[in-house]
Amino acid sequence: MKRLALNLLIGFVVVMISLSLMAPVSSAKLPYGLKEGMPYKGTKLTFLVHNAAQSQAQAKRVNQFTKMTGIEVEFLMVPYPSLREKITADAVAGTGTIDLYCFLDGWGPSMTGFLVPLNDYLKRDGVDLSAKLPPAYIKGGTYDGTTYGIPTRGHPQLLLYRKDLFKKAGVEVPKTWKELIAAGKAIKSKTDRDGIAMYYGKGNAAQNLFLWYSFLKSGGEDIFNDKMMPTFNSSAGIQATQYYVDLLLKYQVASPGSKFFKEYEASQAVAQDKAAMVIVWWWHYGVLTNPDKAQEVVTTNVGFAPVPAWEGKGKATLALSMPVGISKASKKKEAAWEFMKWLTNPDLEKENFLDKSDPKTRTIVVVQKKNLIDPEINKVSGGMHKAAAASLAVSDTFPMLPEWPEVASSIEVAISNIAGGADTKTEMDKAAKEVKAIMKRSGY
Amino acid sequence: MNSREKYVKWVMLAPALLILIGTTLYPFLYSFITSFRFWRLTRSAEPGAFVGLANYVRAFGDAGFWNSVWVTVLFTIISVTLSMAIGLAIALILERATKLNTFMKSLLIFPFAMAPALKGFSWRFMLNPDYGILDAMIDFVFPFWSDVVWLGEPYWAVFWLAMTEIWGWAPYIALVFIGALGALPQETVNAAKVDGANTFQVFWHVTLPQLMPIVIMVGLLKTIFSVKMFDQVVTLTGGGPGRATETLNFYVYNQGFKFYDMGYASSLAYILVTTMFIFAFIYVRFLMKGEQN
Repeated sequence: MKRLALNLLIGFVVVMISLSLMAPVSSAKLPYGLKEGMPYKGTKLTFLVHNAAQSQAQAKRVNQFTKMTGIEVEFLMVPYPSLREKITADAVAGTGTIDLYCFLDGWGPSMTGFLVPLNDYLKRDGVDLSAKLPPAYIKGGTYDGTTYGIPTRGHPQLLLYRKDLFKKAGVEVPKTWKELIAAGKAIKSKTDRDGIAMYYGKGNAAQNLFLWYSFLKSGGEDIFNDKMMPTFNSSAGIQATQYYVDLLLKYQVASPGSKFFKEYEASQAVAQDKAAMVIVWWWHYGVLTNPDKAQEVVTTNVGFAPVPAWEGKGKATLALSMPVGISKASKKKEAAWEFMKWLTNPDLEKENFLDKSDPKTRTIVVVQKKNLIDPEINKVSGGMHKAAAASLAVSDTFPMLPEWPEVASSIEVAISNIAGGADTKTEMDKAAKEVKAIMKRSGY
Repeated sequence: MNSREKYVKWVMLAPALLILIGTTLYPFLYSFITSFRFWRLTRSAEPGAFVGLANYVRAFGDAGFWNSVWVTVLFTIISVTLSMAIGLAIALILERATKLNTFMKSLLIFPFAMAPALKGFSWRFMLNPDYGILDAMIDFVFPFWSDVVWLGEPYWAVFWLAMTEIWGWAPYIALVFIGALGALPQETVNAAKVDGANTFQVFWHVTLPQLMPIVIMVGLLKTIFSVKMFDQVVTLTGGGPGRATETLNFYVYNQGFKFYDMGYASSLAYILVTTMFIFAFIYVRFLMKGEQN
């Protein structure tokens, strides 16, 4: 009996020792599909990215990745306006100095020659993007069925408005463009503020097309037909464009400066208590609630709502994302892919969002489906992420084609001219003619 | 100098020459060759086939190109003329050596030292109809202009673009003229005064002719800088409204770095360089020669 008890005791001790030996192995299993055993230890990567609060937060936590993989990452941060130029210069030089690029979705198709197709990596490591990201964000990193980038930053559009001014004017938050004009008029007459700040000006990334696209798409028209010929100058397209600029020209509910404003200036018109509404990317909510950037009366009264639509028609808005891809010239592609797996993990995104230790982090956003509906994140953002998820469900990107920057430039000029008083049909026809020539030159 | 000394001289110069060739001559020649090739970065990171003069021919049928030429000419005329005139006026005011003038002269360098891109941002901010200080001041002094959105009107936008340049350059030009005025012989001025010439006549018939070599030199320099205008276009107007402030340099940049049409951008850049070369040649060959005569 004693012998049996002793054997049982010894057996128990052996099992416990074995388990305790195994335990570190199982707990050492790396998350996010990162490779075990630090195969790329000592590798140094360079990541070219714009200097947004999001990138700074990622850089702040990159030690977590280095600890797990032994890979060091340098964040090369540049101002957004010079990002494309830097990517181009590095890619054409082809030295492989930079391993990863962050780029605007609309640039992607024109940059496929500089980027590594990620489909094999995704398949090999079982990464299912459709389970992680809203469709518009996946589309933003894809061209011709091939994935070139995965976003860590993305934006749906939201209507940001002043609750107190709406109350004073006795109007409800608009759900249609018609209601928006009515609300704008009431606000203008009863509060001495402009109804809405628009941005028809010409500048970075064809910003005056952001909202125009929502008017166009929700009006049932698109930029191209199936044969990639312009359709934005159809009667429906011209009607949508006219309505878009008439907020300033005919109904006069938009700030006079809207004629030359860029997106940020429109947002600032609300921040400085000059206008009651603005339709912008959701990260501006962080600006309008920041006491360092907006007046106090604004920070305590700003609300958000979905982008209005045409009466009796479906909703459609624009989404924009900043995918991250691997440089074709990189000599450390596998290590770069390891970094991408870590960078696009939902835990990092959530941690970055919830860290409110620095006021600058107010503009950090989340892009992962899981985080958009996360209760903790929505509690902090006052439910904005759920509203954003609803907006993303009806969002689309600009056309994903290499010629897009050139095409966008032609339409951007037309919109700017129309806002300045030029005839809508003449300008849109002229732009369509230019776009046709661009597409013809490219072999469409 | 013996042959050994000559050899040493070239050895000493070699590093600088190599850097110069690598950073200036090589890109200059490479872009010249590129201007005869089809090269769209959207298709390939490598230059494509030679297309002869096709890129140059395309430029001459391109409405956007001609618009940018016109904008550049208009901008150059306004900015050069006003920079020179205001610079000369400031120089004549501050010419006399007083304590206040010495202090004012030291302030003159600041606008020129400011980064061009920053000038554009600052002026855009100042002209904002919602909270711009310059816009508010103009509205106060000229109420009939209170409805004008300065950067939303094509001709006003060109004017303000030129103003950012004049604001930076006129004080610098003034400093150059102050130096030149100080070096002019006073005997001729005194002689004219003795002969009964008034202040304007002294300036027009005596001072200005003696100042002409400096005027030409500064004018040439300013013209070249105006033709190259880029930074403030990006930060002040973005080339708008419409295409109203798209200068040639901005247009070339867009073709190359925005639309990735490297072959076409190179041909446009060479048209710009050639124009500037011809301009400089005419200036130096005829105007300066005329002065010497």
